[in-house]
Amino acid sequence: MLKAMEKFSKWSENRHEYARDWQKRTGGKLVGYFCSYLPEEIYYAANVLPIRIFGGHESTGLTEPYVLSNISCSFCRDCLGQGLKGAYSYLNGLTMAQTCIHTGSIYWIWKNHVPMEWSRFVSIPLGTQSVGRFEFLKKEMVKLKTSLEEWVGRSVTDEDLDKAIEVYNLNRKLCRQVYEYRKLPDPPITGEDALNIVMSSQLVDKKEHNEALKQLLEELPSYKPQRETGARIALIGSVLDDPRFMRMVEAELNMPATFVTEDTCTGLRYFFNDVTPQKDRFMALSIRYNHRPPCPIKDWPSRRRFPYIMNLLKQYNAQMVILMNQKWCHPHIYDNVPLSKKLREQGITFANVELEVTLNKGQYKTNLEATLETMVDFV
Amino acid sequence: MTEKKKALYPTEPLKIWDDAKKLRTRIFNEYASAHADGKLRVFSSTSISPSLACGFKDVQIMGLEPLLAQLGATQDFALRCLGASENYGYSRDMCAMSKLVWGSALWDKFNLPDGTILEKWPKPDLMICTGLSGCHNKIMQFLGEYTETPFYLIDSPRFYPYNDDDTIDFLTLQVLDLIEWMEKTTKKKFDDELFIQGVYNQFRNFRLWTKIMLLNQTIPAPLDEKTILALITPNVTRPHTQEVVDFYTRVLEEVQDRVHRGIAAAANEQFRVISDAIPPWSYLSIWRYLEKEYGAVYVGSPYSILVIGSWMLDKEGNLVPVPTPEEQNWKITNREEAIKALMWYKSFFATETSYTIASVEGHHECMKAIAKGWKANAAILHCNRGCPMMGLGGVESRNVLQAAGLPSMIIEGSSSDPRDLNLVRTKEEIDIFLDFVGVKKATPTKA
Repeated sequence: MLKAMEKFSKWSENRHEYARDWQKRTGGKLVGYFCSYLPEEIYYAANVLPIRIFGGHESTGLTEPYVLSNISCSFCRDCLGQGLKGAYSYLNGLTMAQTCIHTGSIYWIWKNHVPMEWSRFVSIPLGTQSVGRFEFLKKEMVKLKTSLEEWVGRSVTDEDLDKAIEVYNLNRKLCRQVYEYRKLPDPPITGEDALNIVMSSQLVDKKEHNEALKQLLEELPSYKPQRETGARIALIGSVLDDPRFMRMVEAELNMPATFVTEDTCTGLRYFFNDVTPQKDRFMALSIRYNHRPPCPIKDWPSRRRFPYIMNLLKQYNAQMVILMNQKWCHPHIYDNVPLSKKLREQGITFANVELEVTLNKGQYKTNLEATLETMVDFV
Repeated sequence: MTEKKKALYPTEPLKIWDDAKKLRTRIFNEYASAHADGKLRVFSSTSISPSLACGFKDVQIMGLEPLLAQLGATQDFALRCLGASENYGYSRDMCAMSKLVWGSALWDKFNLPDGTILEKWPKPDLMICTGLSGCHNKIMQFLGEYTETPFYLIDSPRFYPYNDDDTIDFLTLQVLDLIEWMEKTTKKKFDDELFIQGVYNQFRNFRLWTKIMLLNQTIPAPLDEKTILALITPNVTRPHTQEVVDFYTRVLEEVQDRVHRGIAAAANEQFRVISDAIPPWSYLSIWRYLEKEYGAVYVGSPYSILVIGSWMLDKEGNLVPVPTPEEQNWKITNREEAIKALMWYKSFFATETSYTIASVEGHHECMKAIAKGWKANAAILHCNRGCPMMGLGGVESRNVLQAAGLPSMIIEGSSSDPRDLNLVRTKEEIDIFLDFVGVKKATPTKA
């Protein structure tokens, strides 16, 4: 294993310890957030560390008094369960970027039942192709800045924003450099590694993350993976926060396989594009977030996501796709059917996987091994 | 044996009922025959969109809400539509509302209120949708792609109590763009005078509805919710017309008269209940069961009260009508001013806007206001799995009402999928709940 990888997995695994330690070290405020469309730079500029809320992958009855489990997205319920359990008790605030109804519902439930010093719903357009979207989001960001300033008791200057944008852009650039190695015939970075890198990027101070990425990039050129690559798989779907799923596919199936890319918000989509600096900082941020590779819920009227995915498959030389959705994740259920049709038309092998709070390994293994067997000539 | 009791209130059928039914049937028939009649056919979502195409001279508009009620109310037809979508690839747990709308197109059938099944899905010339939940726009996207129908999708980021100027400006810009797009797509002229008149009519119609709903706060209720739901179609299809203004004016006059004379919707009203979401269209018999067996009358819900009215909360937390731009003497002289006024008016609790994720806190306040204003004794809330936007908030709606001191229960079901409701079990749960809150069965003799 790459030595530099240890840091990322540790951050992912011990996220709460990191957060508490960061709070102690810096005296700064921590805000838990839902949805990767959140303009994190503004929080960072206000010396507030935004950390993404993930699940705990454990069954809990804590959510049942608030939301029906037979209708609510498994990832969202898992996150809410962690909140109600007190796993995030160190948070000073809670925030979300407007996205799907499932995330929205748990944001409000959390806010109502777990008291917070500060909270804010950031109205990121769902219509990221709509006329007026840039101006609307820009204004929304200015309001967010004002709210943060009132909360932390200090002004956020242009200089603060510039520094934050620089740190975040560097993080994106370094992540993209790491991902270049996944295009190699035998990628030194596995899907599990990639997930730990991106998840940890959403959990720790980007400055520290940047240093860890630099170390990784020093190590990568000479690293020779000690594993068979096998089938090159692209993971397309809902938010994924369970490295065990990646490990199962890459290390526990009866045929070799490696995730070489993904279209998820805990993957490439998170860091795909930069903020292009301009005098109007908020407009620069607005353009970046509106123009991100879209989540299905924001991908209309034109489907920009499908050509983007097809391009990814080519760039990373993927041979198979796993269409993954969290149980009840409507945005992805909406897209997966027409996307399946596209993949079929292109002759791309794919398997559908539906994730629950806990990992049903037996079921997934049978499904994925059977799919891999259908393309045995290629591996 | 059930004890026979004397009727508590006089009752009589609604005089306008037959005309309401005829109007509803005509709306569906005219939508279906629009092309044969040389008219434009527009399929629209609810929210702000039904009246947006009213600047075209000859247009027939169908709204998403009455269409869903129509498709969902006939079990066999609904199941065939759901099956068509599931055969296409959409899973059983997918939003049933989406599957119902798509299924009718995939199966290529359409049903009319008189039971006629059309052998061809009436393909619209264009579709307009306001993305209330994020899901709505995805419904139209697939439908538009599959049926090769041009569609325009509007982003509606947030509503009351967060409906600031920026939201109104964003919506206005999009609608201005939509109108240009409609002109290009249909190659027809959009008449601004006609549009402005349509916007004024919409204000009047929504205002009329708020007046009718306020009358339903009376004990006994002059209307029950099952009847109310049957009256909403005109305002979610053609709220821009004088014909509908005339219709709701008549409804208002009749309801006023009923209140004046103490005419009840249910002669045995002894208990008033409220619901939350769209009802299970296939099982409205539950509403009648409550009324007949218990004298428990559904007097309203955020859905039936808000879907074709515009409301806000006053300082005391009461639900009150939003004064229309016309009542406030807004100057409306051109397209942009008309759009802005309409967007402003509809950005309050109007249509399903209280259910959007950006307005959850507002929705809870609204639930409490309805419970208080409409003098509810309990809440029997339909947790609508057929519309995840509504269903996801169901449990918290119950919690909020319960905390406010109103006995509340949830019935799980679906507005769109009859398979999601177990009628026998639901009635048993209702029986137990009503027994628990001390309501005895009440079967009246003649009034």
